[in-house]
Amino acid sequence: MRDATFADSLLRRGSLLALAGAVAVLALVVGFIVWESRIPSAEGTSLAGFLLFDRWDPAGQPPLLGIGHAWMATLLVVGMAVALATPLAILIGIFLSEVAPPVVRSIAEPALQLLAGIPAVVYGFIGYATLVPLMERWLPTGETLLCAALILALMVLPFIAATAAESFALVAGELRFGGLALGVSRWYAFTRITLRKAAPGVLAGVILGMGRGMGETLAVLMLTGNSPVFPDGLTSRGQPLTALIATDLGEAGIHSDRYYALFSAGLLLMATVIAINVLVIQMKKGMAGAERH
Amino acid sequence: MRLLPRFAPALLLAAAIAAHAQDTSIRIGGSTTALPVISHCAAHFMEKYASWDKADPALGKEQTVVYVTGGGSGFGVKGLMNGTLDVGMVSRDLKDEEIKTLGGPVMHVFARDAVAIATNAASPLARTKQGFTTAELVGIFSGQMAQFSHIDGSLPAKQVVLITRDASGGVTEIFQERVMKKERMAASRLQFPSTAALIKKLETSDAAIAFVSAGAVGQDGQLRTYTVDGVAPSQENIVNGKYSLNRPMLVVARPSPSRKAQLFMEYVMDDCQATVKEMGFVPVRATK
Repeated sequence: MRDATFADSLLRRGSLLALAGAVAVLALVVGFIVWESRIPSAEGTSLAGFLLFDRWDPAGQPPLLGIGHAWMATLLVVGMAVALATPLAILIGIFLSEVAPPVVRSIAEPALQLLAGIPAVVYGFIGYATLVPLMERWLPTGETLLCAALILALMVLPFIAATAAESFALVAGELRFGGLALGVSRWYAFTRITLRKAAPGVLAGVILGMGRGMGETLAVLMLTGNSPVFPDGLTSRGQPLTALIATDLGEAGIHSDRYYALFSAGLLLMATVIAINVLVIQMKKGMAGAERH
Repeated sequence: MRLLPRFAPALLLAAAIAAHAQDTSIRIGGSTTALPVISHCAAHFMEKYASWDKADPALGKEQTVVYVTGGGSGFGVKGLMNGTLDVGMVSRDLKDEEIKTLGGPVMHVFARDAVAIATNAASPLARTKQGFTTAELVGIFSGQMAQFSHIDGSLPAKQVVLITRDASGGVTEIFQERVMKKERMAASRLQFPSTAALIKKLETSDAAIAFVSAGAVGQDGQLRTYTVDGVAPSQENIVNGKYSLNRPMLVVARPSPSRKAQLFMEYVMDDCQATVKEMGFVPVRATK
């Protein structure tokens, strides 16, 4: 009897300790990044210049530390990737929830999860070995924002598709079948009832995919050319924020301007991804609220 | 809190294992240009001295282990500063502030290398050009001569693709300092994390031009190098200093390095010189 209570309290305290540890580590990481972030203090550096206008050329004279080009590249690559992946993901979601027989579903769903589990470097390497030489038939280099976006689309596809399929499946049967019983076509029932009810869930998946895409580093580093240039189109080269940080942090002396600039870039990236996650949580709450009506 | 004393021995043991591993092996890292040479040397070193006492009877009988990794010249220095590395490989001169931070490091120049201008053998430039002037190089790598026709009027108006190492490469700093000087390098350049990755790209793209280790390009039949201001990046020209874009390759250790690090550095300066020559770099001592 005494043993049981001891085991109970050990488990309770142990799990609490584990949780506290995890939260503390998270707080430390966030705190450290915030603490180490500041606008480079070099002469002539302004907030607008740092965020938008200046070039990134820390080796030049005088050194320039602007991360605008990296923001542009991140937004273009992630935006393009999500725009490409979403229609496909919705189609996959429809197939899985509406069309597929259970046997197909039982194979396709784990396969989709497996696709999400493939390491980024493998995607990057596949893109580098196939897509880059293909694009070089028409372009000076295959390394372009478009190339990175195509591979990134493949990487975020499973996330969006899985969430979409789940949202479609969650739409109450009585609504769908009620509609079908009234004699509407399957297409009408899907577009007017299921899609409408599931829209917030699908959107949550899209936003989740965006967050995932923003944090992606290795694949985009390999496929964009890692060129610190302001992108001027989809076939331009570029250097997303994550690639900039990965490339330059090793060379940034601790507490140098370059170091602060890179930590600030990291803070911006983190804040964006956290904001995206908060948005998803809010949407899920909204959905749950709507279900009760 | 009561649990802590019970865990303490386990922690001590873990620390002991970590310290032990640190003692029996040496860790080397840095320049990806020096990486192939030093990895070969490390393999030969471990072959010759299976255990540390064979290299120096005063040392223990543990198996000799030498880890070698890349990371770039910048990492070679940084790894020494933060204790990650026992020996750093650096393919450029150390900066004064780096020497100051390290507090008088032990440095050995074990080879010399040239920074060569290289393209694919099928590049349009290979047809008409034998070399470049410094002014032309500044024009090309600053992005002012963005097309082949800007370099040579008889060539097509095709985009020149500039490829470079990223900031951690020793070549990048040397090229900025001695060729570009005040000019900024074109932002549209592709940056590669290692010399090997850069050379791979050069092998597959005939629109590309790069400044890269002459030693690393030397044996590659698919690539060609160019003269700079009329001087070829040959071994003689590196030795007699006529080719100005040459650089030292160093092994560096913190002040008063461990006996093991010392032994390996001595080996690099002695037996390993033949490997240096074999791999296309200029040895600093006559090889046997």
